[in-house]
Amino acid sequence: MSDNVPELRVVGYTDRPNYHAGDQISVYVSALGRDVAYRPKVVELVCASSDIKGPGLQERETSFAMLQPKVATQQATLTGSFIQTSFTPSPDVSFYSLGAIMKPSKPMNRRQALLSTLRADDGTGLSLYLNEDGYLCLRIATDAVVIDHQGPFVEVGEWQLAAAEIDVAADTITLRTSRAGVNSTRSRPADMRVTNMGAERFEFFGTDLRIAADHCASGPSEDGTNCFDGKLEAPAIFYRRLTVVEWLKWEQGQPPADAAACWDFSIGMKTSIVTDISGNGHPGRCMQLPARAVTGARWTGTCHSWELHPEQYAAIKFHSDDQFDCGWDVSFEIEIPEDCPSSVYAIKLENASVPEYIVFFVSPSEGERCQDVVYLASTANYLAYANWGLFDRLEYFEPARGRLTCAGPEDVALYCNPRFQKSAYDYHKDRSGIRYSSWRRPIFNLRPDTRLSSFSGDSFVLSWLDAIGQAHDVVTDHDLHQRGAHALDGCKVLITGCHPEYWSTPMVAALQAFQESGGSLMYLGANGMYWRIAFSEEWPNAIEVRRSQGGSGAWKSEPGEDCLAFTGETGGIWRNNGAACYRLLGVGTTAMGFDFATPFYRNPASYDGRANFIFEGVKGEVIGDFGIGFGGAAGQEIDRWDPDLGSPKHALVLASSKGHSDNMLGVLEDFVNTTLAAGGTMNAKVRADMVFFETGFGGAVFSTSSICWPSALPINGFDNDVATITTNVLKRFLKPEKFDLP
Amino acid sequence: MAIDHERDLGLAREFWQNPFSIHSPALAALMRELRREDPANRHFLLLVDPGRKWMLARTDSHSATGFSFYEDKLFDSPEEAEWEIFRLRWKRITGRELPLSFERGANQ
Repeated sequence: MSDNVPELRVVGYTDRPNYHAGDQISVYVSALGRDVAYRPKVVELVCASSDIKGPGLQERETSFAMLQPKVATQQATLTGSFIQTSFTPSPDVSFYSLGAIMKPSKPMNRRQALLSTLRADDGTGLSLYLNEDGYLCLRIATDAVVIDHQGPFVEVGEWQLAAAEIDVAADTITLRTSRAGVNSTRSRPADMRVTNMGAERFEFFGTDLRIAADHCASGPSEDGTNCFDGKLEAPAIFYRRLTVVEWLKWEQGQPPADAAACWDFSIGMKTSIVTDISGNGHPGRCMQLPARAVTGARWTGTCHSWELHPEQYAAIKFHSDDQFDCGWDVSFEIEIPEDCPSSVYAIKLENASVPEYIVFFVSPSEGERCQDVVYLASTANYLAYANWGLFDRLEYFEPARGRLTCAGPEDVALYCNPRFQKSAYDYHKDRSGIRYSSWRRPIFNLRPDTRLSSFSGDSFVLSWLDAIGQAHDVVTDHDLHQRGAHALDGCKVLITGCHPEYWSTPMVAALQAFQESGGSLMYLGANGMYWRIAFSEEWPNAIEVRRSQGGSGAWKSEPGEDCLAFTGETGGIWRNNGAACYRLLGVGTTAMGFDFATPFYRNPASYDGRANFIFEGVKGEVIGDFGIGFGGAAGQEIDRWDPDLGSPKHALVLASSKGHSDNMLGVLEDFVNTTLAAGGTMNAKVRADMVFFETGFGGAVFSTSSICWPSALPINGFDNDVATITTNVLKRFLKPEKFDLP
Repeated sequence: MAIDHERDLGLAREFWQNPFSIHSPALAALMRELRREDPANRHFLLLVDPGRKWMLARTDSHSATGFSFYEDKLFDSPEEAEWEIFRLRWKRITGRELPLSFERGANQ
């Protein structure tokens, strides 16, 4: 690209988002193409927006040790999920039967391995695979010959048993496919192709069996392992010929018991381990986070919980673009100084083009009491939106949002480097929704000057705290999940960013416990506590989301796949899972729109004596008719107070927004039918409600119900009504006098 | 809807005056027409100097990168960019040029 077009040329990541003073950080860096010379340094990020209406990009020098200049080369990036087993077929057998039940995804335009022992070094071994034209094939490769046998055509999107028989004595290969599962067409016979083996002598020189991929060849090729896209169930290998009845039983997910190896994916679905039920002791391990707890060939449609009927969820869904860990070599390491204050930091990689920022957070150490004020960094949200594929939906965005789509260099770089998994708002190559997101990959859109509904917008809260001289600690969503309410020990006032959308059950419990212990909450955003997520110790720091049971998101979970694999809990939105958002925040998501923002207008409740402290120094009825990016304090995503859904009835609805356009659309879960009356000019529920209420435990909650609220804080040097109200609330919440219920 | 240069000039003025607002039903319909673009050749803005400069760009299936960047089309604000792309699309459909600006406050 031209020198006038900003270009991201080097990216990196760390192991996790949250660290403590004294920790060591491993930093992984790669060039995006040719080598890049860079100078790394650690900066504290106080404001992550360069917008001229705000304080500007604020990076502070730190006490981290100086780092030497370095050169980034392009590192090979691992992608694509599979299972690595410890099973190697015996070479001294005269008959092999091997296969798996499968449901391949679209498109099938490349080679995809089902079961493979091909060695990475010399390519010898055996691979049962689908070829580029959609045929089931078997490769037998010895040190003398490589022969590909083509079998029957495979049906995309259908459950079928795909198998091979190798009759060494008769020198024949039989490849067969047959409908499988409870919904299959039973009258259809198996489709079989018999060919001569071709090799003078069958020699089994394979290595440990891999399921859903061939063995990795080094190099950055995204399809280097011929990963499978689709579901697999009941893979097995036998050292004998199977009877017709046995084939029929295998089609129903019950292969014979005397397998040399047979893996039952319905066992241990919360884990990364797959169990060999043959009794021969050959477990496997899932690599790169394929999806477990997905409907299998035996799913009847009568059950939506994999914990109740695991046999109906005996499949694993693989994607050639699954990515838990890029697998890069460590580029350098950083020691966090023992006296490092809790804050938001970035490892800045300065180079001749756009600098890379590898963001990380330092939170108080375990056992250390927090300061009175804690800022909750939305690391779960950053993960959910990590590598949001703007250009995959460019056609949709401008008409739907009512303004030109604006991309950053990070969006262009992500599009030009498709080997990095996209966000939980995007789709896999087979058009299924991406349900996992991991920290162990570069996150292109976690950096300064990205969207104001995320990291950059959040940073206005930090810059406001800095501007008013308020000391604070930073605690992440990951800390809250891992340590519960103890992560907030000592905290009196917890302040969120603009978009704390993703919450695990332990995170919700931690917030509830914090409030029940007298803590106060300033929820300075919207769309909070919307989707339930889960974490797993098996896949550290990654999140899982299932978009089920309504909810306004980018994709829908497949029928029967409502429950999270990591925990077994029902996924979807918190509104349908106990309404925690209404109870704890006082409000819940009501609308989304991205054309412009509006002001708040004071309601009579704002003159209630309980709210006097909030509006001290505020003149006029209109609040926040200004803001960075969208021109108002109420916009992008907004929440409403709704006692029918669980909002506290004693809450004061201090102010509400109005004047939203029809591009600001009510959330799906408020409708039972499609309607033209969803937008801001016709839908009374399209409003942001600014809410205050006492918790009954001595603390209180102030909710702004708008993602745009923090973006209005910095206007006029933090001297405006939005900043005044926010500061008034913080000062009162910090006072020792408790709040009583009215 | 078919866009007519003479008839719809008032709608152009309405957009120019306030691109980010609740549009009249007629302007909303016109915007739906203008914003209908081939995904393989769709305009967008590239942030080149955060908070200060935006560059017009489009997807381009014939380009090695997949994009074309208009390095001479730089804007100081999203509003300025909205008006420029409005004029560009208007000309594509009607064959007629819109003025660079209207007289503020005057009737059409």
